[in-house]
Amino acid sequence: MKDLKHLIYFEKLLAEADNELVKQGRANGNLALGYSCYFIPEVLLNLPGCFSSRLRAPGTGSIDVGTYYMSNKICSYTRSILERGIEGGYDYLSALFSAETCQMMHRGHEHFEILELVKKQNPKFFMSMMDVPFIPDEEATEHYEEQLRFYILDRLRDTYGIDTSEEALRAAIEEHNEICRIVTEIGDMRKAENPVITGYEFHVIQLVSQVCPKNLIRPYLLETLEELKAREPDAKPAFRVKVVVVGSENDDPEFTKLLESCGALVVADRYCFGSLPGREPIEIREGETALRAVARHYLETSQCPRFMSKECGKGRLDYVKKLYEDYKADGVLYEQMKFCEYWSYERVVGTNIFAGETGIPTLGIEKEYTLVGAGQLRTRFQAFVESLEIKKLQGGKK
Amino acid sequence: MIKKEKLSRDRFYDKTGIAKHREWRGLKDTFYDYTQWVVNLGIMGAFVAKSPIRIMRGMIEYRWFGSYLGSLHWIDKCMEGLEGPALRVAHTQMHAIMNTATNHIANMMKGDRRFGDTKEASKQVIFEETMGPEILGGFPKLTPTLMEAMQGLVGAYMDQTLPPHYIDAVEHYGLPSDSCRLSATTVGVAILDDYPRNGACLIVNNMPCDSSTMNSQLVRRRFDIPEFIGSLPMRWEDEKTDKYALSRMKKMISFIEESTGESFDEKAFFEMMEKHNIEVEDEQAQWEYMATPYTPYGASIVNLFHTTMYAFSGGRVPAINRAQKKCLEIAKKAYEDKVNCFPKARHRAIIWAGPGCYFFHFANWLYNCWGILVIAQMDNFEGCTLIPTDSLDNALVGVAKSYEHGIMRRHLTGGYEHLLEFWELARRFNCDIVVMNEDITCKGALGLSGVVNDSMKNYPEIKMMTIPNDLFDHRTISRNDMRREVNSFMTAVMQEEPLDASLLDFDDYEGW
Repeated sequence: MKDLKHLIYFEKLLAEADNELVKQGRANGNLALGYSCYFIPEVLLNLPGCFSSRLRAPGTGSIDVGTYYMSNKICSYTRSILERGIEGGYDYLSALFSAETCQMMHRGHEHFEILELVKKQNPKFFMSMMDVPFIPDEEATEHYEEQLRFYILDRLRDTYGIDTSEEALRAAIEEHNEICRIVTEIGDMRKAENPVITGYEFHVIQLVSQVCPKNLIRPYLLETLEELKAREPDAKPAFRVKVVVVGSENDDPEFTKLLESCGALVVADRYCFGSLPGREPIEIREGETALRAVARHYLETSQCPRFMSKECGKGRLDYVKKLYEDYKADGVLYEQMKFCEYWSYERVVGTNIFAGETGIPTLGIEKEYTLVGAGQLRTRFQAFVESLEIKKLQGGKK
Repeated sequence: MIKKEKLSRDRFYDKTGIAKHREWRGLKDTFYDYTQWVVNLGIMGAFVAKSPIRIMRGMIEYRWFGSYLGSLHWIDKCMEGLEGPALRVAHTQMHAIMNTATNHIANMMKGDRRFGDTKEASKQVIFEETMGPEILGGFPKLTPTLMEAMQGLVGAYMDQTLPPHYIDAVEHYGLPSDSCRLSATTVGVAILDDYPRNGACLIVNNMPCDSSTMNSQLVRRRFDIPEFIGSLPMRWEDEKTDKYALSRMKKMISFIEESTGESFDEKAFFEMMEKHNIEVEDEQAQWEYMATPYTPYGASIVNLFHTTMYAFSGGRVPAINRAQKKCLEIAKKAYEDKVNCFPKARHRAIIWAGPGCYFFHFANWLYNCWGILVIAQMDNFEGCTLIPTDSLDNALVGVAKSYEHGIMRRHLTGGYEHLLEFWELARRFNCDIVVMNEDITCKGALGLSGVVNDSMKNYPEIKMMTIPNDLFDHRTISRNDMRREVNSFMTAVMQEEPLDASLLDFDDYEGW
C-alpha cells in the first residue's frame, strides 16, 4: 500500500513526550496536563486553556533510577515514567492527574509529589490523586463524579483559573467526540476483509490522538481519514492471519509492528492506550450534566479488569468475543505487562476460561515496556500465526 | 564471645523442626509451659468433639486441613525463648487464638454441604480475605466464615509446605510467579476445589490490593451462592469517600437480608459495636505497656492475636476480650514490679510490611539468636478503629473505615505516607531497629522502596535492615535465607555477635 502522507510526521511526534505539537500548544498559552490511566477522562483535561498529554516514555533506555525508587519488581512502564520524570522529561506539564486504580502507577505518580518533580520548572505544578470505584452502578457513578469534580475540575479552576463551567465542559465533549469520530472511522476500516490500514499505522494514529493537543492534531487526522478512504489495499495482503490484541498498557507501535512482521495483522486494539474502548463518543443524556455524562461514560465503557462483578467479568469476555467476530479475526492475543497484577489474572482468564468457553484460539504473553524480549516474542508470535494458519487449513475456523 | 554452653538448636533433629525434648525454661516456667500445652491439647479435643464425623471427613477431604496437625508444634515454635510474664501473655493470647480458630473451622465443617445438607450452611455468611465480621453484628442469628484465612494464611503459619501445593496449581494455569502469593494460594485452593461448600451468601472485596481484587474474580467461580461486591474506597483518608462507603455498607446489609431472610437488628448491632470498641480500647491500652522496658508483649504471638481479633472477632468472640483483660493484668503487674520480661533483649525492633508467613516464628528467632525483641509488627496497627455509636450512619461509616484499615490495607493504600508510619511508631515504642520485610511480590510496598531507603537519613538513631521473603513460598526465599540476611546485617552493620551461635545458620527446609 502507498505510504500514508503523515505517518512519518506522526512517528516523529511519538518520539518524545514534549513533541512539536505539545510545544506549540503551550506556546499558544495552553497548559499541558499529564495522565496515564483511562479512569482520568482525557476530555476533562481538554477544557479551554489546557490540553491532555497521556504519559509515555519513548526511547526508554536505562531505568536504573526508577528501579532504585520502585524496585525491579514493578512494571517497567511505571518505572520508565518515573525515570523520565526524574530526568525532567515531563517538566512541560502543569499538573499530573492520577487515580488509585493500579497500585504500581499510583505509587509511580506519588513520586512526583514526594520527590517534588517538575516543581522547580513550575512551582504551581501539582499531582492530584483520586478514588475510583470497583463497580459501575449508580452510587459508584455519583462517587466518581464527585471525585472528578474535586480532584480535577476544582483543582484546575483554583490553581490555574480554568473555566470548568457546564458550557466549557460541553465544548470539550464536542471536541472530544469529533476526535473520537475520526479515529473510530479510521479504526472501523480494519473490519474489512483486506483492510486499507495496518495495525501499526492505526496504533500510531491512536497514540498521536492521545498525546497531542486535540485542536492541533485534528487537521492531520482528518486528512489521514480522507487519504485512507481513497487508499487501495494491496492486491495480495501481506498478512497471514488477523488478531485482536487484548491487555495492559501498550503504547509502543513497535510491538504491533513486530507482531505484524510475523504475519498477524492487528485488527482490534483492546488495551490501555487502545481505541477499544476509548474512542466512543460521550453522549449527554436528557437532564444530565456534562460531568455526570463523563463519569457515567467512563465507568460504563471501561474494560479494566479491576471491575469486580460477575457481570463485568463476563462482559469483558463477551466484549473480546464481539471484537473477534466484528473484526473477522482468527485469534486473540492477551498481552500483559510484566508484573501487572490486573492483567496477570485477566490473562489467565483469557487463555483458560475465554479460550475454553469460546474455542477461539488464544495466546497469552508477558512483555516489558520496551521490546527487550523481541526475539522470544517473535518466536511465540510466529508459532501462534502458524497454528492459526493450520487451523484455517484444517477448516477449524468458520 | 560466642556462647558454647547452651545451644538451642541441639534440641532439634537435623533439618527438621522436630524437638528431642521440650524446652527447658527453669522448673516453674517449664511446668507452666507444659500445663498450657495440655490446655491446647484440650482445645483441640473440644474442637473435634464439636462435630467428630464432619471434622474427620474434612481432615481427609481437604489438604489444608491436614496441615493443622502441626498446630501444637507451631505453638511450641512461637513460645521458643519465652519465660516469666512474657510466656504467660503468649500462652493466654494463644489459647484465645486457638479457641477462635478451632471454633471457626468447626463451624466451617458443620456447614459444609459437601458432607450432606445442613441447616448450618444457610446461617453462614462468607467473607473473603480478612474482612472482619462487624457488619454481621446486626444479624445475631448469622455467623461469619472467613473464606481464605484458614486455607491460606493460617495454613501457611502451621506448615510451610502447604501453600506451594496451591501456588503450583494456579501457576500451572499461567499465573506469573511474581503475583502475590497469598492471592495465588487462595486461587489455587479454588482451582483444586479445596474450599468447603458452605454459606448462604458470599461477600467478596478489594482487600487489600490489586491482586486480591483479581483473585476474588477467580475464587468466587467455585461458589454457586449469591455474591456481593464489598468493595470500598481505596483513598480511605479522604472524607469525601465516606458517603460512597456508607452506601456500600447499606447495600451490603440489604444483600445479606435478601440472601438469608434475616433482618438487620440495630440494637444487636450497636451492642456488638460496643464490644468491638472495648476490644480496640484494650488493644490501645496494651500499647502503653509495649512502649515500656517492662513489656511482657513481644515476639510472634502479639501480632497474630491482634489479627485474630480483627478478622474473627469484632466484638463477637468473648475469649478474645477475656484474654486481653488477663494479659493487661499480667502487664500491669510486670510494670509495677519492674520485671524485665525479655532478659536477653539487646535491641527493640518493629517489623514492617508483608512478612514471610512460612517463618511465622521469625520474631522468636530474632530474640533467641540476636537479642532483638520484636515489640510490634505492621498488622498490630491495622484495624484498630473505634466505631461511633451515636447514629447508624456514623457507625456504618466506622465499620467501613475498619475494613479500609484492615490487614495490609491500612498501610498500603490511601497514600504513601501510611507506609512510612513505621519510623514514628518505632520512636513511640522506643525501638532502635526496624526490620523491613521485603515481600518480593508486594507491589504496594516495593513501589516505595527508594523512598523508604531515603527516609532512613531522617532517623539516624534507628537502624533498618531489609529482609526479603516470598510471603507464602519458602522455596524461593527460605527461612534460612532470611536468617542469613539478618546475620549479615548484625555482623556487618551492627558488628555484634549472636547470643546463640547454633541458631545462626541451620537447615529446616523440610520441617513444618
